[in-house]
Amino acid sequence: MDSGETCTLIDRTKGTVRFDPNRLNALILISVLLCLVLIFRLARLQLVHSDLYLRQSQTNRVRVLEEPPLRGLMLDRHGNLLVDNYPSYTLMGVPRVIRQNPGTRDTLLAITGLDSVEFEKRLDKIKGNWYTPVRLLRDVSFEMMATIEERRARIPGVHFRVEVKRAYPNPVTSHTLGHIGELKKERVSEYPGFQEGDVVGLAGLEQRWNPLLTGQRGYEYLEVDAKGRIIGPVAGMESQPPTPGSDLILSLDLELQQLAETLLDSASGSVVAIEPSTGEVLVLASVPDYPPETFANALSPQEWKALQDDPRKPLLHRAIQGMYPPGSTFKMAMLSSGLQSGTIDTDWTVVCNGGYQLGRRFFRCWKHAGHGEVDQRLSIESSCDVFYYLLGRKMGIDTFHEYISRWPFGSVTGIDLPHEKAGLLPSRESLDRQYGGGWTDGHLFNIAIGQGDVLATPLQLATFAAALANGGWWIDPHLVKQVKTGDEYFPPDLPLERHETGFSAEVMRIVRDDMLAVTEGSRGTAHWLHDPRLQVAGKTGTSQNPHGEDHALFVAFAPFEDPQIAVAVVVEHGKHGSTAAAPIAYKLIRKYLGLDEETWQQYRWTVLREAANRQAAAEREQAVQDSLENQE
Amino acid sequence: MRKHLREDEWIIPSLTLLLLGLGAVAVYSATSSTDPSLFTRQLIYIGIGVFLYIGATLTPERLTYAFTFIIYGLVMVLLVVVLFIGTGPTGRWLGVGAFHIQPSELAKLAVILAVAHLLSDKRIDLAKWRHVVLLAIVAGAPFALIILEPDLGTSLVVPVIVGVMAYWAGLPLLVLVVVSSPLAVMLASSNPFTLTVIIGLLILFAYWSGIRISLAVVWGIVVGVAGSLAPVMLSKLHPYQRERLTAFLDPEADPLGSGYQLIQSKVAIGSGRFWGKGLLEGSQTQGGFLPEQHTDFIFSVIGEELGFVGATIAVILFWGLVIRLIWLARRVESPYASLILIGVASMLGFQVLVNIGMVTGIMPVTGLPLPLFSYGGSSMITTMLGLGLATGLASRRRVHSLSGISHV
Repeated sequence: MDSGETCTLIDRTKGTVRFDPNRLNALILISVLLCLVLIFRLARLQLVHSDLYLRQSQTNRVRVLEEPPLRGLMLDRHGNLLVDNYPSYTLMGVPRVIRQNPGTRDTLLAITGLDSVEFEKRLDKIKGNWYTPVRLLRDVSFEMMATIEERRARIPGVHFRVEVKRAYPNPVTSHTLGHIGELKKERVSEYPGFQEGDVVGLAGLEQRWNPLLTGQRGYEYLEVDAKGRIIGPVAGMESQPPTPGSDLILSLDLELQQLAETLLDSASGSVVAIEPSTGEVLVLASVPDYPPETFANALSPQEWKALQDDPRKPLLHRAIQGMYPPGSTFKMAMLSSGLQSGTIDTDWTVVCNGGYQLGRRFFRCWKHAGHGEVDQRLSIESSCDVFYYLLGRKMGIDTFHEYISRWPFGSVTGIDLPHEKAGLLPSRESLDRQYGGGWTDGHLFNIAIGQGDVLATPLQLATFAAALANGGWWIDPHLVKQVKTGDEYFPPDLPLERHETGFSAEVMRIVRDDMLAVTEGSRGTAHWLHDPRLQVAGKTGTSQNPHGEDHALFVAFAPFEDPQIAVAVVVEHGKHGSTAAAPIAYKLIRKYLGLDEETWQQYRWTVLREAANRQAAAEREQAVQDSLENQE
Repeated sequence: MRKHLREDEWIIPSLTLLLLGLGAVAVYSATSSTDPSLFTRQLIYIGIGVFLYIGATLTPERLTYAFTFIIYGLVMVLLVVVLFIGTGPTGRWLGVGAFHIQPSELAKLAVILAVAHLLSDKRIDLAKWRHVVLLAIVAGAPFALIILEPDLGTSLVVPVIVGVMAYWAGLPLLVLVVVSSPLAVMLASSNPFTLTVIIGLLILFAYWSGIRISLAVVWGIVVGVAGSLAPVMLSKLHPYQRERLTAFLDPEADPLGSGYQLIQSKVAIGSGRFWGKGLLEGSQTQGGFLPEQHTDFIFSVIGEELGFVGATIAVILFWGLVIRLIWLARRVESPYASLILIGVASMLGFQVLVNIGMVTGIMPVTGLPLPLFSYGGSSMITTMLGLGLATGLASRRRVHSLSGISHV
C-alpha cells in the first residue's frame, strides 16, 4: 500500500509469526460484544417481553373449544313445548392445515359444491390464530357428513361441530316467538356482552329475552399441536361446562292460540286475549304469518324479497304493530271520559236521524234510518255515532286527550316484545302540528267515533278490554309468565305495573252494563250471539278503511261478573264487527271457559226456529186476518 | 508423538462436548414427538463428528499443510458437480446411497485451509494488490459456486472467514473496508436505515484514513454501482430467498409465510422466560409449531424449554469457544496454524451470530445451521473437523517450540 511496507504474518527475518496484539484484542472485543448482543436480545425476548410471548404461546397451543350452551326453551302456560332445540352439524376447518394441504381444499369444494371464492373467504374469517377452526358450511346433511367422514384421512384439518338450532313442535305465533341467528356487526351494540357472529335472538321473544335464553357459554381447553391435533386437556385450566339458558314459561295458551289462528283462517287480522287480573297474554295472534323456521337458515334475497313484497304483509306482527282505527270499540273510552269529566251525565240524550249536518258535511250514523232519541245506554248497545259526534264536540280536544289517555291508547303497553307500536291518540298539539291549526269540529267528530287520527293496536284494544273488565285498571300485558332456571321457577324480571285509570266505580259500572247490553239487550249489535250460559260484555266496531272494505272489530270480556278473559279481535276487511269479529271472540271465550260450541249451536237453532215459528204464526194470523177482511 | 497429548488443549474439547450434549438434548426434544428416528440419526452424526474430531486432532500439521490445495481442489470439483447432480430438497446435497453431504459445508473448511496456506506463505504480501486479488480469487471461486447453488447463507460465511483471516494476517484495515464495502452496501440496500448508517461510517472511515481523493472517488463509484445493482440482483434471487429477506424486514406481514417461522420462534423463546418450561415441556416445540425446528431453528428449543438461563449458557459456551480459538491463535507459533484457528473461530462465530440472531429476530432468515446443534451430518462434520484441526494445531504448540520445527 502507500506506506510501502510489506505486510505479512511472517517475520521474514526470523521466519516466525508476527502478531499484532491490537488485532487480537480487537477480535476478542468484537466477540465479546457480539456475545453480549445475543444475550441482550435473549433478555429482551425472555425477560422484558416474556409475558406477551407467553400469552401468545398459550393461545397458540391451547385451542379453546367453545361449547355453546343449550338455548332455553319456550313453553305455553300449560307446559306445551313451543320452541325446542335440535342439533345441527357444521363443518369446521383449520385454515392453516387446509392451506397446507391443497388436496383438502379441492376435495371439500367437490363434496360441498361451495364456490372457491366463497370458500377462501370463509377460510379468511379468522378468529384467534391460524389454528382456530373456522366455519365452512352449516347444516351439513347426513349424506355429506358420511362422505366427508369416509375421506377423513385424505382431508386433514376438518371436523364437525354440533350447533343448536330451533325446532317448533307447535308452530304458532311465529312473530311473537321470533328467531335466532348470527349477530351481525351493525347490531352488536344492541347486544351488550355479545360479539359479532354469536348466535342470538334477532326478533320477538328470542330477542327480548335473549340474555336469559342464551345461558353461559362453556369452554373446553385443549392442547393442540401445530397440525391442530388434539393432544389432551390443558393442565391447570379447568374446562367450564356450559350453563343452559333459562326456559320461558309463556302466558300463552297453545290451544287458544291455535284456535285463534285457525279462526282468522285466510283473513288478515289479529286476535289478542288477556287474563285481566294478571295482564298475562293468552293469545297473541297475527295472520298471515310465516312458518317459524323461515329464518332459521339464511334466506335467499329472492325469498326475502317475496316475503317483504307480499301484499298481505306476513312479516307484520299485527297484534303489536298493526295500527287500526278502533272505530266503535272506542265508544266506551269516550263515554267513560264524558261521564267522568262531567261533560255529560246519564240523562244526556241526543236525537239521531241517521246522521248530523255539520256545516256543509253530513256526518252519518251507521244506522241510516236513525236511532231516534239516544241515551248513553243505547249509544253503546246500538252504537250510535251521532251521540258521540256531539259528545266529542262538547268535550273538546283537551278534555278528550286528558281522559282518553288514561286508557291504554297512544302509548306502548310495554309488552315484553321488541318493536311495539304506540298507536295514535290526537291532542291539541298533534292536531295543530298536523293540520296547522286548520282543524275543525269535523276532525273531532271523526276522532270521537274512533276514526281518522285515532289508531290503536289489537294489543292496546285487548288491554283496554282488560281494563274495562277490571273496572278501571290494568296490569302491563306480558308474555313471560315464569322463568325456569335449572329446576327453579322465578317470576319474570318485568315491572308488571298496575295502571289506575282513575275512573269512578259508578262510571265503570255504567259503561260495563252498557257493554253487557250489546250482547244481551234487544237492540244490541251482538245480540244474535247471545249465549244463555255466558254473560259477555262486548262492543262491536267497524273501522273505515280507505284501502278497501272496512275492518271488523270486537272487544269483549267474560264472564261479566268475574272476568277471566278479555279479547280484542280485528279482522281486516271483515266489514262488520258483529259478523266477522265477534263470533271469533265468542268461540275463544267459550273455549277458554270450557263451554262447548255444540250447545250454543243447538241453542242458536232453537232461537232461530222459535223466531221462524213466531214469524210463521204471525204470517198465518195475518193471512187469517186478511182472508177475514176479504170476506167482509 | 504421545507426549503432546499431555499438553492437549482441554478447553476446546470440553466446550465442544458440552455444546454437543446440549445440542443433542435440543434435537431430542424437537423430534421426540414427531420423528424420534431423527434423534438416533443425529447421535450417529455426533458419533461420526467425534470420530473425525479425534482424527483431525491427531493429523499432523505438516500433512494438512501438504494436502491443503488437493482438498481445496476436490471440494471445488464437488461444488461444480453439485450444481448439476445435486439432490435433496434444495439440490445442495451430493451423495451415494444413504450417505449425503453438502459440499458447501466442506467448502468453508477448504477455504480456511487454502487461505491459511496462502497467507502464511512468505511470498505473499498483502500490501501488493495482485496478492490481494489472488486471495480474492481463491476465496471468490467457492463463494460464487455456493451462491449459484443457491445457498445464500453459507456463501456469506466465506467472505467473512476470509476477511477475518486477512485482517489477522495484517491486511490493512483500509483494504479490508474497501474490499468488503461493496458487499456490505449490496446486502444493506433493501434497508434504507442500515444503508445510511453503513455509508455514513464508510465516509467517516475514508476521511479518517486520509485516503487519496482519486482512490476515494473510484471507491465511491464502485460502492455506488454495487448498491444500485443490488435491487437488480435481488430480483434475480430465488423467490424463497427474497421472501426470507422481506420476512426479516416485516415478519408480521405474512404470518403464514417465512415470517411464520420467525414469529413462532420468537414466541417459543420469549415464552421460555427465565427458567424455561422444562425439557420436553415446551408447548411450541412439542406442538410442532415450528416447521423444521430441529435444523435451523434448533436454538428456539433451548430458549423455550431451558429459558433465559439455558439459552445464555449456550451463547456463552459458543462464544467461549470462539474466544478460546482466537486466544490460542495468538499462542501458536506456526502462522498456518494460527490462521486456521482464526478461520475456524470466525466460521463458528459468524454462524452462531447469524443463526441465533435469526431465531431471535435480529438477523434475516438465511438458512444457516447452528454449529453442533442443528440436525444434520454435513454441518456436524465440518464443525467437528474444524474444531478437531484447531485443537490439534493448538495442542502441538509446545511440541513445535520444543523441537524448534519451523514450517515451510
